[in-house]
Amino acid sequence: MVDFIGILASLRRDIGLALEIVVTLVLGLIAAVSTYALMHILSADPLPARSSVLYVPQMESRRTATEGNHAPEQLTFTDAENLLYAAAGGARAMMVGGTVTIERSQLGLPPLPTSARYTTFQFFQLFGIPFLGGEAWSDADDRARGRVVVISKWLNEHLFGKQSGVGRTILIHGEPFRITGVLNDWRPAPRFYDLSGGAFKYAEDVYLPISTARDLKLSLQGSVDCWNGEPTTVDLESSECTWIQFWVELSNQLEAENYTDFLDNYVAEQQQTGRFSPVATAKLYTLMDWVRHKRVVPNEVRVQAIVALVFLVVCVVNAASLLLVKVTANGRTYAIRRALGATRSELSAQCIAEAMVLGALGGVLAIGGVQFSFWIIRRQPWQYAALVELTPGWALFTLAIGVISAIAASLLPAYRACRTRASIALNAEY
Amino acid sequence: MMRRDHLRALTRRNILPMLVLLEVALACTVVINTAAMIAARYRVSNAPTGLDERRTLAVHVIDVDSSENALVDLQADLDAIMSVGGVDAATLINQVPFGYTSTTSTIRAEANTEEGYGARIFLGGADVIRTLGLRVLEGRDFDPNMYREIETGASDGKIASEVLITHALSSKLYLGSDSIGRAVYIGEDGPYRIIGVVEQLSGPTISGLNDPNLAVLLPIRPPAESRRTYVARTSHEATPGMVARICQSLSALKPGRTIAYCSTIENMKEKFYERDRSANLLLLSATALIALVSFMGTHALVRFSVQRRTAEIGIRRALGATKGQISAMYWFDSLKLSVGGVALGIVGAAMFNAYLREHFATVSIDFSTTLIVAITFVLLCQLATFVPAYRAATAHPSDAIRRG
Repeated sequence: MVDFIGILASLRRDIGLALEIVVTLVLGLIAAVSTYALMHILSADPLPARSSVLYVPQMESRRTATEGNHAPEQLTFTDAENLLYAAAGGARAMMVGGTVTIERSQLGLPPLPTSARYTTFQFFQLFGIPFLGGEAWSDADDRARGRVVVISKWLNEHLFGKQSGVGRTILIHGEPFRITGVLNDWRPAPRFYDLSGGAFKYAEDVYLPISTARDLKLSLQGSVDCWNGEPTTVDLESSECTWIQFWVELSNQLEAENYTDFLDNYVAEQQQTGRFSPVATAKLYTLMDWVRHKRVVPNEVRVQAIVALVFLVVCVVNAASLLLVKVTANGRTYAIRRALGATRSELSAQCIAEAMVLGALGGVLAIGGVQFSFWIIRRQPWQYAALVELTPGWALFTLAIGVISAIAASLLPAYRACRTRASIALNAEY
Repeated sequence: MMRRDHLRALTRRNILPMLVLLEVALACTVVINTAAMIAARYRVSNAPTGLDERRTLAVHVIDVDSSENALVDLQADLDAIMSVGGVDAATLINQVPFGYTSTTSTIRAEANTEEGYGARIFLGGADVIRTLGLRVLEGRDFDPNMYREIETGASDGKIASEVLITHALSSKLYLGSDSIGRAVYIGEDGPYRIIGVVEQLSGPTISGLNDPNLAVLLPIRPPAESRRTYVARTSHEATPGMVARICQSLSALKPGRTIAYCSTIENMKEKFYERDRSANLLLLSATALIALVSFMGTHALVRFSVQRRTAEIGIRRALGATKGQISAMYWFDSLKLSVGGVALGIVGAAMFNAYLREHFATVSIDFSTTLIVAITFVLLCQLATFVPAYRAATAHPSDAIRRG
């Protein structure tokens, strides 16, 4: 129905206008697609295989709590330990971030300060973290404050090259630790289990039992929130300060409901002993609820996406007015075709088809542009920069949005084209 | 019937300018908001700290062992820094703006009142005010004999009794009246007597701190822990070589120690706001593109209108219209269009801003930014008119008529 040669001929006739339309669309597409893709990538599920069974419990542990307060986002050491050793839920782990210094004199380098996670033995099983070699430490190690450690693939390569470090010993703050396992690459983004200090930090390089870390007074990283006027320097284990993150696996809806009941009972018990306020409640978040609740996608990224969307609209309006110029300038052609018997819908179809060709061309060019803008984003000093990559999906998406934008831009001009009256062709003045 | 035809003619003629007007309005809506964001971010990342940023250095050392001789180490570190040529003063401090840690507390004018302000709490060893390069506005600096060491006073709980506060905090607590000699409470502790007011001591905005300009300084040498922050002051602007010598002298002093940072406050500030600067650059380029596209739209409109009206222009010229009159016609048309678009855009920008503020806590748009953007857009539209209007006016009348 649509005459393709006619379309190309028509576009060639106004090559300048056609180019302007394409450039406009390309600019709008690059901005809109790259910012939208960035937002989408950042709000993605960090652990698709496990996210539906992971939960984070929260409870109002403050004695001074009043109705309507938000519960603290972390747990006290006491509560975390109680949940850990209670007979409820599947795999579970309590944890806190820290920094440690690792001896590496064999490399002829000064000690390496690096991020660490102090946790309990089920941490790896809970999050389904792949091991390159070895395994997690045991429950017995947790209880005995064992000098055991699991390290990342990067750290293993840094310290031992191609050899596996499993079974070897490293010095952390002068204390020998036995490596029980080496992890494979693992970078959940966002780093959901601890969002403090930037949601898109890399996972830690060193994992060791929390009991050991406390025993050696290894330094903590993250927020320690104290209530009831306690200074933050008190003995944290026995304090009412909240500083521990806790995650639990609940494999189905029934388990989740049971766990909620368990938490309610726990809060009630604590209220009876007078530890919790009478208005205290508990809450259970799923992983994705938690990530959304914590708004891990930076506001500036959302704002950029909205701004870019409006920019795309500006570009579509601009393309529409350029197409309108084209239609009006070619009024005589349309009128002649009408006089020769072309129907209104044929004229509109031609106009829309012309725009679609331009839109597709713009889309293809914009794919390159999006690639370029991702390249720029990856060079920015942002934690999440490395996550941004152009997949075939995004390329197709760009093309589709290009064609859709072009169709949107062509609606008004197409309407205008089909309204052209044959009589204009006969009018010498035109 | 006639009325309908009339109406159709009217809408037909105006639909293109209407589209361009809409485009200018939308572009203006966005650009006013992005310009306000860019300006706000620029202001924040260039805000002065009150420190003499180029002459003040901060060094953070992390020792592996928590040595029993920490106090000896501390003195050795200070001696090492002072031994570098060009260093005037050096002391231990608990935090620096843009450093890794920050200590804040709630400050009140009276004990047990509800109204308190979150402020940074600086603990500094001997000569801290001069070392930071702070300007004392009212009152005086700490006397040398006022400085205490945090370890000594731990038993009776109170170590120092005099403080210096920033001007911003003084105005908050005592509403601009003289605060010298009056009291402040830090958290539950106090009263501390205010002996001086410094002009400014600000850092970046952090959580729990609504106003980054509020700070209290205490003449207390912080604890000699394995992680320590030193500040040093140089007699002239610190050269990279001098900074390197200071870092070198500290890391050479003890094997196995890590220097977490070692640079001038100016460089630390630059690094701290690197992220914001790059975000600003991206937003700025997006803004420029939006302006470019609306420029293209206006340009196409005027160019087209000139084309369409070649015959008319020719006749006007033949009838004696001057070149100036012809181009003025176009100037005036595009002025009407851009002023209309910009006016709509300002209304749109206010609405868009209300939306962004509510959902994303962005900054509010301000008068001067809005005015600058509005004027820029009007000028941009005039610029887009320039070439086509000039071409129309300089066309020969006979050409124009013949083409019809």
